[in-house]
Amino acid sequence: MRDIIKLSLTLALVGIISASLLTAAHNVTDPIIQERREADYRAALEDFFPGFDHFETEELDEGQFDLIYDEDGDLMGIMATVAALGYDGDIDYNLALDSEGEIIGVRIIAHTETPGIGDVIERDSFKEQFVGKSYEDPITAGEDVDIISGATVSAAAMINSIRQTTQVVAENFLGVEVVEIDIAEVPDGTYEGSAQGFAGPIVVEVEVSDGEIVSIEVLEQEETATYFVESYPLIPEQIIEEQSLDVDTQTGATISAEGIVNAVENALMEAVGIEVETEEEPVEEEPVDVDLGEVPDGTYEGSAEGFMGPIVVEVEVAGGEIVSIEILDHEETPEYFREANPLIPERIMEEQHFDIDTQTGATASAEGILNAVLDALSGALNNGGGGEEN
Amino acid sequence: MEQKNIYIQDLTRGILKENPVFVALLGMCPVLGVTGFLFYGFGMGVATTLVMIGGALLVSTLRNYIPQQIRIPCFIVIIATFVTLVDMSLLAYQPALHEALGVFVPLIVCNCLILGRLEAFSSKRPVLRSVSDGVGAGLGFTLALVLLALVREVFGQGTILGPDPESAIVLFGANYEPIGVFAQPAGAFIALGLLLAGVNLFMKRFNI
Repeated sequence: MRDIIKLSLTLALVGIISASLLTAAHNVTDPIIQERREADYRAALEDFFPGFDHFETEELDEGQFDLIYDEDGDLMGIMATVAALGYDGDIDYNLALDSEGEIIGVRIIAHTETPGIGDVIERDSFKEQFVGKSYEDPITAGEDVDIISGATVSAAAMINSIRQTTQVVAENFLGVEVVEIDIAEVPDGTYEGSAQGFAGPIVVEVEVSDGEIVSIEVLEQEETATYFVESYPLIPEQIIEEQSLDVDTQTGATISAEGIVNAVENALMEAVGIEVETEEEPVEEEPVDVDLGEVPDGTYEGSAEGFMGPIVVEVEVAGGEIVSIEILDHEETPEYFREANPLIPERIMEEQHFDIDTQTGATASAEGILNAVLDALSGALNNGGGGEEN
Repeated sequence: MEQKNIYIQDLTRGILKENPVFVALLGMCPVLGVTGFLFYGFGMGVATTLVMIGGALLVSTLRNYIPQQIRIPCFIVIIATFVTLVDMSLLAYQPALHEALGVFVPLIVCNCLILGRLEAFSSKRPVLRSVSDGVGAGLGFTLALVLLALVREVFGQGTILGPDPESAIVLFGANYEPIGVFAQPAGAFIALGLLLAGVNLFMKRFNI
């Protein structure tokens, strides 16, 4: 017995020594860390809202929203500090929106996603696809933004959170009215609606009788079975019970849950005659083609966006043929870039046209090179043939 | 003189003769994990050395008060304290390094090198000798990390003092194709194996 007391006391003593050391260190380092975070945030604000004058902070359930004003007191935009529930804990990020609700930029503050996998959300190519989108856009994976394979959960979490944040900002600060459906006004009948879930569209059938939703049935879905059970039948039950679409979707399968809610909403909207934006097939980009025969001999420079930044190429044309393609500058990851270079230049020179296969280990870089070459040649044509002839 | 020699012996033993990495093969996780760049390897070595010294100091000071039965939990708490101290300091003063080392900083807690030296040496010897030993083991660990990181950065990236483009020195010109495998964890194993062979040869040759 005395032994146990002695042992416990010793351990407690060691703990106390440890705690006091840590407290002291925390007191020294914490202000510096906070100051640095603050400075980083300020720099980010300056970056997104150049020349801003001051901001007012509003706290909502969803996060912190800073309303940014210029010198004249006009609203420049809103900086949201919110968290998305990622694969492994919260992804804290800033979303900068202009006064129209359009996204200016995304800034990841901190996350604990798997290194090398989930941290692709930090890539510029992922973040930049949100720029220019607003609450009016679907901001849905596979529609107007791309999910990153291999890091589906992290990317989907960001996409969904960004969509919600744009809506929260629009409703709270930009005075955008949200279309509310009055279930009582929906005529009796059975309606079908669909919305994007986690893995594909979720199609539901909603039965309305006497101004009440009496049944919700999922007709089609492609969700992962082990997750989907977390949301179904829970979410339909909640909607029926509360007769409202404003149900808590934070389940073990939040994205599926939201998919169900959105599908029901779409079904009801259609029922009351509000037009639902249907998914448009992405427009296939017309392959740009340059007639090589028209390009005068010479050396031309062109650039296009690669994966990490611009790729600058120098193209030499002689006798209506591309004789050399040289990469002057790029910011791609070397390990990936060599999957595309010199393969792609070689392919272009071999085929002497631009409809080549860019599916390499570094497709984005490969397309960057291709587009840079096209840029160089179309520049050559537009300049009346003179170009930047050396 | 005799006394002084002991301290120097304690200090130098860990650097070469009983190098934690090259001879004892302890603490392999960070050795393989963060040696992609010289700066990271050096930073990790210094962080581990600081924890090592702090741990040695406190453990040998308290060695007569810590009962045998609970020595391991006490050691771990002490190590964890210094690791957290280092973690906080890095976050405050070297944020870029902190971000690069990532999870490997908190993982110093379970670096078997530290617990091993504390258990085998510091818990049985006076403070000064323990600290000498801690400094020696830490320096030996740093040396190993720096050497390995040097090999990996030079061959795997073709630079020295990267990844910060301001300080990075490109060694072989723009046309050099880095040997990608050295940048990967698998390459760390290969590089470590080659280094181990080299060090063993060296030690045999000079009878260390």
